[in-house]
Amino acid sequence: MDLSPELSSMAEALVATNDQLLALYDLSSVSTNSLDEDATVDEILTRSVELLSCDSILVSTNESEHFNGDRSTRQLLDNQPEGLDRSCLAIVQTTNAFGSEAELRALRQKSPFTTGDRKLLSAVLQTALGAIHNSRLHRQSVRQAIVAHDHKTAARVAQLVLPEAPPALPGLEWFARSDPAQAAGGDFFTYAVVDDILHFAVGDVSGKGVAAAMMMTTATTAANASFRDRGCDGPADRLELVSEWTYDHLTNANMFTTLLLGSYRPEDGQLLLSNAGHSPVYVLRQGEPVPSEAHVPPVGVLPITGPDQVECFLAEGDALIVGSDGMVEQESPSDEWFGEDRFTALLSELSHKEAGHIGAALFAEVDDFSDGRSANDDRTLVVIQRKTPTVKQADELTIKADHESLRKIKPWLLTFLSEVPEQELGRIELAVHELTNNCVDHASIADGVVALTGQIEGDTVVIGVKDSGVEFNEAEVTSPDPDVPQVRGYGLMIIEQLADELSYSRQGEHNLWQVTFNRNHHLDGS
Amino acid sequence: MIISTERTESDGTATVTLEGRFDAHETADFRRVQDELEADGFETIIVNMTQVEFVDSTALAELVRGMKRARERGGDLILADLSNPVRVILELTRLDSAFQIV
Repeated sequence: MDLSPELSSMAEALVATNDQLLALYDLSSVSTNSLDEDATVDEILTRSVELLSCDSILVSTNESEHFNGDRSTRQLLDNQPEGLDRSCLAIVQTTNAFGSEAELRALRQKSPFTTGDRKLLSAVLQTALGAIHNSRLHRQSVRQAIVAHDHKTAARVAQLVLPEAPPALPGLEWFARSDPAQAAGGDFFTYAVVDDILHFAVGDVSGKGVAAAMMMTTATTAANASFRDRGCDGPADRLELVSEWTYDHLTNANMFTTLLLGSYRPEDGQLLLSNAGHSPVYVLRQGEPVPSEAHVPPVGVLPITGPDQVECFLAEGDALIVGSDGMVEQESPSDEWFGEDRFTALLSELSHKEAGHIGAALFAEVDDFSDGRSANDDRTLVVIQRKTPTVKQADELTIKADHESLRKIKPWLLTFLSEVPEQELGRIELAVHELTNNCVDHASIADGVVALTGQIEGDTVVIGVKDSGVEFNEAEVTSPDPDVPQVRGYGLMIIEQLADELSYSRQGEHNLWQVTFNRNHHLDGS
Repeated sequence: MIISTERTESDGTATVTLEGRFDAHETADFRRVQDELEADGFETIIVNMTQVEFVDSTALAELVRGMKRARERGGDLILADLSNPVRVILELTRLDSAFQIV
């Protein structure tokens, strides 16, 4: 019996199977090399056309088509005319895991497709679909990363509208903090000091996320603008104005904002409040938390005209406490609310503490209560407390008007500024040294001495420098050109950058300079 | 202020190390040291300021004067290892760009 034809046929089949395995390996390596859909699928089809000696291959999905091979055969694949030998045409269809349909058509006019070829074409289609899927997933993850990055940036920019430094106004202790529940928050606070009166606003825009944060910046800007509006005669006028400015904007966005507007006058402790739906608001008077109710619904619900305002006078140590609902509505792991009772009980306990202590303790209590449960809402707290500034007067220092005597300035500053951080003391010393040095160098002092006075009022340090020299003439001072190094003229330039205020007056036969430093500023020593 | 000098004859460079307060009261001493070094042919002076605790505008002006004079003679006055007070005053006066600082 002659077995050679069967052996030959088996050998051919084995070779064909082996070729197909090698072809599959080749294809699979293509798909991992790139995440670009067009480039990857084109590469797969190019190799497949070569491996199977096809005229052309067309892969179609719901969203794209990829063709490779002899362009003149594209029409045959598209139209499949009646005269076309069907054995030379292979059509493979599949549905992927996401329900998308895909089809591969291949044409090889010189020889019919075998069963093995058709299986290999099926593998080609799966490989191409895998590459398309990977590429789309990659594109989607890149898009998501861009959106997430944009959200984060928008949130960060929105939070920048909240003031960081406390108001520079003697007669009050200030605490303010806002923690957004997500990256972006709708809570806000802002203030401005105009004519020695503190104007402030605390609010909570409905909703969360970037939309709330964007609207929060609008409300903050409107409140800031109202503080400067000379036509307003108190928080109620300002509330009406803010409502007028933002009502349409809020309504169009289907949002609203609670808003407490107020003013505090340290001179006599007068506190005025006009409240559009904001809570919790308490006035701590003589250790007793007294709630302050809303006068009108939140801004954006209805137009606000002629809202009321309430007036009270804070005594020494009394404080206004303005929270946001995120402070009282925080839930514990056992679904219990923090609640206003707990909030007011804490206020009573903390009533004799300073504003900073009250604020920090309230945040800590709410945080402890949550016991690791994420914040339900943004948490914001502002505390404004009446505190008469303590005035500390330093002994006057009189020194000879010479360079060596300038060395006595630092030990003198330390007699009343010993608690000031070293870097801040450094900037005060340099500015006072430069000011006194200017007197020594330029004033032709008649009695040969310079007198220095020092005073601390709250967070403000005021140093006076007095001499009996010739009158200072500002016209004789030329500011140095920063691009041209010169051998004099830097003293005033340095003082103006280090101090918060510098003033000069001529009093009788004396020059009197006064330099002021606000200790909340320039803490970086710059 | 303590001023110490180290001379490197081979390349005509001298290093002047300042320690303590460099203010209006000390500028004469610094100028004397620079005069001596120039007279001895040292064209480039490196001023090491790592231990300077305080510097005022008069001392700064003295450094500017010294730098201009050294450059006129084909050399330079280079500031090295600035302490924080020195860095701050150079930035306030924007003279950090006028000096070569190493």
